[in-house]
This record gives sequence, C-alpha cells and structure tokens, in this order.
Amino acid sequence: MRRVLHLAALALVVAGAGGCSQAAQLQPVAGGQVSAVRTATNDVLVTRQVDVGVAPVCEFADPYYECSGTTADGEAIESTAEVLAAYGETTDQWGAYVPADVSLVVTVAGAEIYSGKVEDVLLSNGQVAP
Amino acid sequence: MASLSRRSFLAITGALAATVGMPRDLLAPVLAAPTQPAADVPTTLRETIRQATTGNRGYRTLLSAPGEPFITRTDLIGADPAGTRAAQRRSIAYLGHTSDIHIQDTQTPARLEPVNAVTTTLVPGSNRPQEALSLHVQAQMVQAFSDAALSPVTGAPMAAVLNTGDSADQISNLETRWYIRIMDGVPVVANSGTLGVYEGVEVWPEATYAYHPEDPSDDPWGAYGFPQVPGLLDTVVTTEITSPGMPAPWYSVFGNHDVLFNGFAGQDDSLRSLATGGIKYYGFESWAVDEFTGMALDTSPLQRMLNHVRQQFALLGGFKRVGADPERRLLQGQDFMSAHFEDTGAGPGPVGHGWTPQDLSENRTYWTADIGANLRLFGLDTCNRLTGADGAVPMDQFEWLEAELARCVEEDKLAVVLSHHNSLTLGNTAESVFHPGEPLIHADEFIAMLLKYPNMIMWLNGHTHTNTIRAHPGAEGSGGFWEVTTASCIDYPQQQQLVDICDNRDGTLSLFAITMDHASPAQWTPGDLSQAGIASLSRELSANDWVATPLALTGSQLDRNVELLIAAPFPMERITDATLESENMARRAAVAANTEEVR
Repeated sequence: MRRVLHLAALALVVAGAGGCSQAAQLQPVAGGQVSAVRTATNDVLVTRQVDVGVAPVCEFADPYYECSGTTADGEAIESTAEVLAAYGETTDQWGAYVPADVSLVVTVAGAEIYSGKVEDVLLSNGQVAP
Repeated sequence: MASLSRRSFLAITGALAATVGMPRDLLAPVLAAPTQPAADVPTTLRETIRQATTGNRGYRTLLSAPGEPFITRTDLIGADPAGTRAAQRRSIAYLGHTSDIHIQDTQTPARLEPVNAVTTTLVPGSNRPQEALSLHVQAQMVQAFSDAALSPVTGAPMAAVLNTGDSADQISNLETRWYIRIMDGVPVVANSGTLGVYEGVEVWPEATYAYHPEDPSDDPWGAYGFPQVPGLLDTVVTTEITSPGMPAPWYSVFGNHDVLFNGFAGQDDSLRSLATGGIKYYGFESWAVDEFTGMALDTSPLQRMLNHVRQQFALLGGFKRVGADPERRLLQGQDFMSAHFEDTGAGPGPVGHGWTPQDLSENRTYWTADIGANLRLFGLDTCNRLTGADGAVPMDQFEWLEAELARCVEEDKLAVVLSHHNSLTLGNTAESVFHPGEPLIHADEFIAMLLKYPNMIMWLNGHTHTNTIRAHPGAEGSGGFWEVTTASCIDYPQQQQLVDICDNRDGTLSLFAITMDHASPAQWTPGDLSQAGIASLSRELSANDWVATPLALTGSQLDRNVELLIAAPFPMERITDATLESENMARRAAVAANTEEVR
C-alpha cells in the first residue's frame, strides 16, 4: 500500500507540475512494444530470405499486434503478436526484469513461416557464439 | 576533377584554401583525389557488435561479428530497380545523422534517481548503469563521424551532420554546453560540483538501487554480473575528454529532454534551486516530499523562500551534501537555442546550428537551411513545453512547412524534414492552459500533408532510441517518402547513422542509410579506462540494462544498412554535374579542414 501511495503521489504531483491536469501525457514514450513486434517480424522475413516488397507495417488492435506487408511477388505477409506477460511483471534469479513474453506468428501467402516468441527472435539476431 | 582545366583547378583550390584556412599545398592533393567509395570506413557494413551467448551469468559481454551488407528496399517504387544504377549514380548530399545523445551530468541533484528506490520501471532511463559515461560515448561517436567523413558508397564528402534532439538529458546548462563542446572538438572534463570528486548515487551505498562500479557486490547489478571497475568514476571526473569535432557543419533541433525535466515534466523554483544547490537526494520519501511540496505550493514568494530554506538546510533525510554548482542551472525559455550561438572557438559551424539570429529574436524554434543548391532542410520543434515525452506539430509550424514544401516543388529542391519525434510518437495532446484550443497536429495529419509534396523525400528523427525505417507511400501507391529513425547514444546499441542521397540517373533516387557504432572496441578489456575503453564499457553496460530491453532497440536488418529507392520528384538532369562537382570540392575542403588528420 505504501508503494502504491508513493506512486500515486508521484503521478499526481508530476501531473500538477505541468500547469494543468495532463496525466494522460505521462505515459512512457509510445511505440516500444509495437516496434519490438515489427523488428521481430522483419528479422524472421530476412532470416528466411523472404523477398520483401513492402515491409510490414504494424499496429495494435487490442489485444493483438497485427502487421501486414507484401512480398516482391505481391503475396501477403502477415504477423500477429499477443502480450502474454508484460515487461517487468517478473524477475529472473538475479533480480533483473524479464522482457515481455510476446507470442509471434508470421505467415507468407497464408503459410506459417514462424511461430514462437518475439524475444526468441530478438535474442537469435542480437547474439552470437564466441 | 576531370571536367576542370588545370588553371581552373588551381584557382578553385586557392579560393577554397583561403576559405577554410588551409595551406593550398596541403589542400590540392585532397581535391585532386578521385571521388570513389571510401575504403575501410568503420561502419556496420564492415563489422557489427553482438552479445556473446555463452561464458557468463546473466551479464553478457560483447564481441565483434561480421558486417551486414545493404538490403535494397523497393517499398515505394513497387518494382525491381535498374541494375545499372550502381555504375552511374552520383551523390547529391552525404549526411550524418545523430540523435538522442543524452549527455548527463549524473552528479547534479536535479535528477529522478530517487524514484528508483520505489520502482525502476515507472521512469525508465532515470538511472541507467552507464549514464556517467555519456560524454565518452559522444566523443567516440564524433570520432566515428570523423572517420566516416567520406561516403563508403560514393566517396562524397560529408555535407552536414543533423542532430535530431535530446542532446542534454535534464534541461541542464552544463549538459548542453558539454554536448556542444564535444560536437565542436573542444575538450571537456565530465565533472560538476566538487573538483575531482565523484558525488552521486553510484558511490553511495545507501542508494541500493544504483550500480556501484567501485564495488557492486551489494547491489542488484553486481548480483546480475555487472563488473567491478576500480577507478572508473575517478577517471570520469578527472580526465579530459577530447573529440576531433564533427567533420561537417552540424544542425540541431529540440528534443523533449531539451525542454522538459527528464523529458516529460515542467520545472519550478524548487527544482531550479535543487539543481544548483548542495543537497543531493538518494531516498525517495524525502526527495518526493521536498521536491513535490515545493512544486505543489510554489505559489507565493513566501512559500518559495520556505522551499529554498528547507532545501538548503536539508530538513529531511535521505540525502548527502555535495558541492554546489551554479553551472548546473536548468535551461529556461530560449536558453537551449541561444547556447548554439555561443562561440566555442572551434568547430565547423554554422553559427546557430540551424537557428538564425532572427529566429532567436523572434523566439521561432524551427528553421530551414539549404545544403548546397539542391537540398533544403527543415528543422522542426515538435516538443511540448507543458508536459509529456511525446510530441506534436504546432499549427504555425505545420502551415509554415506546407508553404515551404510547395516552394521546394517550384524551385526543384529536394526536401528533408528533421524532428525529434517520429510517426509513432506524435500524439501529445497536452494544451497549454494559457492557449486553450491551440491546434496540435498529430502523426496521421502530418504524414498526409507531407505526402502531398513529391519533393519531400525523407524524414529524419529519433526519440524511441530504436533503428527504424518506414516507407510512407502516396495515396495511389506511388510517390511517398522514407522515414528514418536512428537509435541513441545512451541506450544499446549506441548507434547512429550515415545517409547518402544519390541520383541513379534513371528516374529514381537511392537513399543509402548506414548504421554506425562509436569508435571503440567491440569487446571491453577489463581495466581499460582509456577514453575509447570507457565508451566500450558503456556499450557493454547498456547491453545488459534490464530496464531498457536492449535487444529490442537494434531494429531489424531492414532498419539498418539499406538502400531505399524512391521516384525522383523532378527530372534530375536539372541538377548539373558541374553544380555537384563544385559542391563536392567545397565540401572536401571543409571536411579536410575539420578532420583530425589535417589539423
């Protein structure tokens, strides 16, 4: 409860400090999760050597993130992602926040080319073995 | 310089030598060298940096990995590009793009660190483990721009460097001055307050939420595997940081961190007093009561005096005394803009870095500038002065820009728009109580306007600290423009961009976007406290910052090294080779004068 009070006080007073009630603008920088979904979708396409014509554009359609684009041949590229556990909900054994658990399914011309997690794609493309 | 006679070449060389202040004998071979793709430019075309997957606990070191070749993106032309374009293309302008430098005076009392005692997710970026090293990163990034002064695609000399905001972190006078000095190649010691002593949460055991590089054994970062780095903070506050200065004239726009406290909140007397005073809080309760009581009750001279007394005599706990420093004052009004007019005694200019004296006198925070005869820049101010990290385009700028884009069509100018916020983050609705109803233009309406003007080819921005490149097609699937967002200098991957705008002489343009790491080793060697070593350490720490989800910020391969095709908005033969050759020589001379080797 004490923690909640602290946060409430922080939000209220910071909002007030702006000169008027603009609490809605205190949200973090927008676009973080949709960017991650878009990045993972594109990395799946590049890794699987899909010839991309129009790179997927993504948007949030509660509760899903949906992306659509086309191949160079005009076939549909689609991906769908869903947040199963938000970032910061859990910590690992060292106390570090676990990234959001977000599912991801990518299809090209209706055929599934990836089904897994956004984080797995990001790890795969951001890491290499020594 | 094949088209010039010897006499013309010597005459031009003499004139340019006088202009840039170089001996003619030194400049002549630079100008006589053939224009060809610059070899060995240290970009991610040649080498990338990745996290190591093994050999650690939670903490991961970094290592060098193969480079990433260009991927051609045809989203806006809907067809395969001509295979002949590589052989016949010519550069219109080669640009650097830097953003979200976030220079930080981590010793200032005016920071949100105490919030981390309660939560580390409410205000991300309020206490990153690498924050005290931000100047080292910027200096090594400027070195990287200097190393890349000639295009790896065409060999064209850099015409300008474009900075799309969040140069400082806490609307701090000192942070702003430091960033400008490093951009200009003027040495800086990253210290404030007490001379030669680091005073901040990183050395105070009571701040259990912070990373303590001297001894992290009792903080969560140490448990995760963050390294012990003896002497790091002493080195930071006692060693001069040097940079070669940007190799070409640099231009800036406002970011939300340049106008609002921590990028989202207003300031008042209480916060201003805290910034320059000798009390620095690490505990949340005392800080919140002190600061927010001051803000909420900051309504009368008497109350302001009481706030000041409470702060200066530290009537609450959870703080330490630090050296007071008037240079830590918070920027107000036009301060950020006017700082860009101050002469550092070095640097490539221009005076004002985009803003003109008239802009300053009329408090106009957006600007336009021509880069040569064929390219016009528009630097917008999308920041909300009231509250909120995200932005919007005020109506006066929107109308001005639309009129200017129409002029570009009439005058055969290619147009590039710069702003801090991108299309995902132009949604701020916070209206001033003093100007209720003042229209704010958001992303959809702004993009729709840009799409009306075919000469508008590219929108450069930042804010989300993520490499992102989006195509914005025209209504009938033709035309459109590219939106190019770069990552930051503060969060992983600490990358910035190069952009070479090329005419393919076939009715298309290619915009080459190239991702660049700062000039420091991929893998940090324990104990390396050289300037480049500390920058390398900063990258490694940022790769493990669990509050920032680092791997989500790299973007995909479609956002990094790419050739972006777009239809030429007018017959490009109207831009003569002679014009480009003349500009090329002038830029080569300027780059030669501005780069370290020649100095």
